[in-house]
Amino acid sequence: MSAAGGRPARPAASRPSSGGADPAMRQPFAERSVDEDVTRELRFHLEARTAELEASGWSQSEARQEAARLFGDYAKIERACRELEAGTRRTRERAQMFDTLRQDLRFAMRQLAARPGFTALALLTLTLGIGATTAIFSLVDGVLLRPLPFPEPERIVDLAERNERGGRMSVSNPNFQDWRELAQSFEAMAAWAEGSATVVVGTEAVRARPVLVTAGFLDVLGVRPRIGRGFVADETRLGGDPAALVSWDFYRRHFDQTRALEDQTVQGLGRSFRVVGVMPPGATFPEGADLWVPTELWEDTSGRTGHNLDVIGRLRPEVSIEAARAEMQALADRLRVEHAGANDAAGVDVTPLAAELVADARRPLLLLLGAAALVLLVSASNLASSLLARALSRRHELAVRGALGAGRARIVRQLLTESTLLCTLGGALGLGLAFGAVRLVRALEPGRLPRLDSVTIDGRVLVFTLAVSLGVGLVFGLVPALFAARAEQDGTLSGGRGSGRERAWHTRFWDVLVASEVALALVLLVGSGLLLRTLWALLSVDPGFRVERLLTLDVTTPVAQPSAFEPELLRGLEAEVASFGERLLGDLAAAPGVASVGLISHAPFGSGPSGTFCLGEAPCVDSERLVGERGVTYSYAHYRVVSDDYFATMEIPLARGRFFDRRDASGARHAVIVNETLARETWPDEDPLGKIVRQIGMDLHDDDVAEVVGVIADVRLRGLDQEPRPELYFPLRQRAFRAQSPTIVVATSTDEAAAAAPLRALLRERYPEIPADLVSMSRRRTGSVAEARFSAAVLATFGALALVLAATGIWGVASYRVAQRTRELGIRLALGARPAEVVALALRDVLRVVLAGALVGAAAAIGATRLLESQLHEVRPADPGTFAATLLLLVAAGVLACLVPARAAARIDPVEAMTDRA
Amino acid sequence: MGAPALNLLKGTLDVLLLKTLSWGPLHGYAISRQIREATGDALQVEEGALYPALRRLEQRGFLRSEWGLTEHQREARFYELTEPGRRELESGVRDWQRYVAAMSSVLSRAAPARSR
Repeated sequence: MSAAGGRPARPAASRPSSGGADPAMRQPFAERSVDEDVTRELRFHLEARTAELEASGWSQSEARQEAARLFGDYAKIERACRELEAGTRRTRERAQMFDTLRQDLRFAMRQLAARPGFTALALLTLTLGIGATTAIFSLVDGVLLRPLPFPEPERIVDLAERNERGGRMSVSNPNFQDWRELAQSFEAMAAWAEGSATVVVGTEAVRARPVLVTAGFLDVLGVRPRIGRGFVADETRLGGDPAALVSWDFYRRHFDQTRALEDQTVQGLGRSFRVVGVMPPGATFPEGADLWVPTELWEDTSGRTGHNLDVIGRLRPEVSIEAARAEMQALADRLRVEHAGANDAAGVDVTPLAAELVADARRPLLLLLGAAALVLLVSASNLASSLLARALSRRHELAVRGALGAGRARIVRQLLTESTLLCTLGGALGLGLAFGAVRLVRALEPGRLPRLDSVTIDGRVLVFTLAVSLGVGLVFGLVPALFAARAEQDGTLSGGRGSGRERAWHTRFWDVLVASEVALALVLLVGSGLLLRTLWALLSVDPGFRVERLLTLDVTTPVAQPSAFEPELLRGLEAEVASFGERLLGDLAAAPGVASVGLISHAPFGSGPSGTFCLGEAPCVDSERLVGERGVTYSYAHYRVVSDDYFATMEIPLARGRFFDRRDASGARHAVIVNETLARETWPDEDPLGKIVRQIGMDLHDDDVAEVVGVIADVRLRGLDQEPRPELYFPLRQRAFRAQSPTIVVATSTDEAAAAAPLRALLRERYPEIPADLVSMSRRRTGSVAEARFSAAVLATFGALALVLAATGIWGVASYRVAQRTRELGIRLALGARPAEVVALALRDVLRVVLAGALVGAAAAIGATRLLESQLHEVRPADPGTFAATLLLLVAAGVLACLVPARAAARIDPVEAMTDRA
Repeated sequence: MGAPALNLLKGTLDVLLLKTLSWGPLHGYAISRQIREATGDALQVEEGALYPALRRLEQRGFLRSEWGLTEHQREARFYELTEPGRRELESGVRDWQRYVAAMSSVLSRAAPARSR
């Protein structure tokens, strides 16, 4: 009961005896709870105080009360002490943890520095794996994951019409007008249509992408111009003041930023536009647009079957996309009934704009991400097997450390620190690699990959890389670390090589690692093989027309667009377009080095208009009903407008009849040339020449009669992977309306580059309004397969990486096997075995693992390549040739990787091997 | 024991504790008894207030503590001054002396000043 009682006057009594209690009796702090620690201390005080008071004559109960009074508010003090104690302990534990971590890190660093070869190889492996994954992730992040650069982007949707067969169509103007008026789900709705034109800024002619937009376009996006203002009501009506908004980039490139915006104009589309605003940087929709002008300046008389507009809308905050879909479908049904026969829209697609923009890019990108993940797995397996090798070679050292008192957990933690440090360093290097790769990708402009501008290495990518690095370090470092820590417990110190069971265990683990590397590499190689074959097949497709020594030039005819949609004015426009085209063709044909010149309304290897046509003399459109009766046959075809010499210039053979010539004058009966596919499908057993065709939806020439005068051979008009479809060609002189932004093709008699120079000079001199951007047709061909090339290039790089990594892994395990069996092999050599037999013996197991991995990989590849199917051309996913070649390549790489250790095995000196046990 | 006295003591208590421990490690009860004896009960401190103060000093690194046994084989928590604690004590003593000097020089001149 009495602590310091009895002799209260002696302070020394309270000191720890002999400078501290018996160490064995002390309780470390961590073993006593915070509450108990505090309570004991305070109790001790109260008891000691009570005893002291009792000693000076107080009764026991009075002494206890007095001690409590002198102490003060016990509960409050206890609480305060507990809080303080808990805080102190936390601080101390954290400090201890950091201290250990620092020690571990320092030790790990020394270990890595002590084996520069191992470290360099592991770092290289990780850099490649993490770099590949990071680069592709940043692409996926920028293109697919990042929200659109507009406020509340999830509320912006894309609206498209659907025909009866479920095909998506652009929206007709009358339907759009009705939607905008009637739909309740939207805060704002707007339509836009893209064009391309040459515009003149100041005195400079530049090719630009103008977008015609309706009022409310900026409200849908939710953006305001950075400089200036948006359109006002007076600018968004027929006959209003022509006003334009320009993109930030376009403004920076072509405008004088020292002058007031209002004083600067853009001429094009037959108007002179006052620039009223500059859009904020990055907020460019549609992507690549240079300027926006109100579409209301022009009259639009197209009907409900003229699908010319893209429509976007901003949902009201409380309206879900499903509700909007339901409303729009009901609206479409109603409009279909109200305008029966004149409205071919069966439904409306409402899609989030962000998803719609990247719909085509999603699948290829995710496949590449998957491929990158496989590369990462290969490099991580490679790391794990080198860590295992390290662990095996360090067994002795670890056993010593274990014997010196390092616990198993401590050793595992130390080894994990090493692997995580390696991975973090590899991640940092990989980040550098990814940075370079992303710049390369952006420079290459892989086809139509949307939103490439938002692809960067930023905070999100950094976090991803860090997570991947730490994850790989922990997961793939764990098994080798556990194994090494186990080794320390077995009799390693006593000079043994571990128990037989344990050896079997780690050997099997290693075999699995190497086999999976081989399997993963095989999947990647098969995938890249298939894509390379696709690319090769595409590039060796004969498009059916001349590609070599052919220059192309995109032109916008510099004519004023009439302000009203009146047949008289439009005919005048058409005549102007045709005569400008003829003059330009004539001038170019006379230039030196030019063999022949032609014109086509929409460039080959690109998209163009298509529509319905009907056969026979009877009109296919009457005033009331779109779909005629009276046995009129309808069909669907792509159509283009061409000059007389186009087919000859492109060396497209004539199958029947004739090409266009002077006879097809604007006043004469209209002529049309069809391709063989159309002729075969439309008139299987008849002579197509002299047949009558009517084209619907060609604006000015709706329902004009045209007589088939010729049949040309099928060509790959719209792309190398596009099978020929029915095509109609109309002469420039008769149907120039659709050829206002044509492409000129120039067949050169000399080298393209040599012929281009005088052409450029000619264009600058006589056609300053046309940018002299001559592009060779072969470049267009290459450009048309850019996506296939990009995917193939990335996958081939990944496949090559995986192959090298797998070979390194095989080499590692083979070297270990040989080293492990040095003694046995030495004995065999001494007993007269031939070196070749010894080599075979040492490596048989390794090759068996390689083969097993290859077979598993082949099975996995059969499943995985099916995902590639939509990207393949003229090669099946399970292409036997590709599989066989890849298997052969991998096995050859495996054998090659075994060669160095095998030579080492054959050169074993029996005497040395048997005496030296190291 | 009123609120003003406690406030005044707040900074001083730390110095008092550090000073008491400067002769060697002590447990809390011994510290309180020493202060009581040294000041001849002139300074009235709630005895319990020592403990949060001790732990606060420990958290700031001026003290470290350890459970040990008293002479009577009772378990008690002993506090010991650390090197930073010793420096803190020195600066605390200096501050206190400057404070006292300033106060007393003002107080000793107080009478003539007031008579004007």
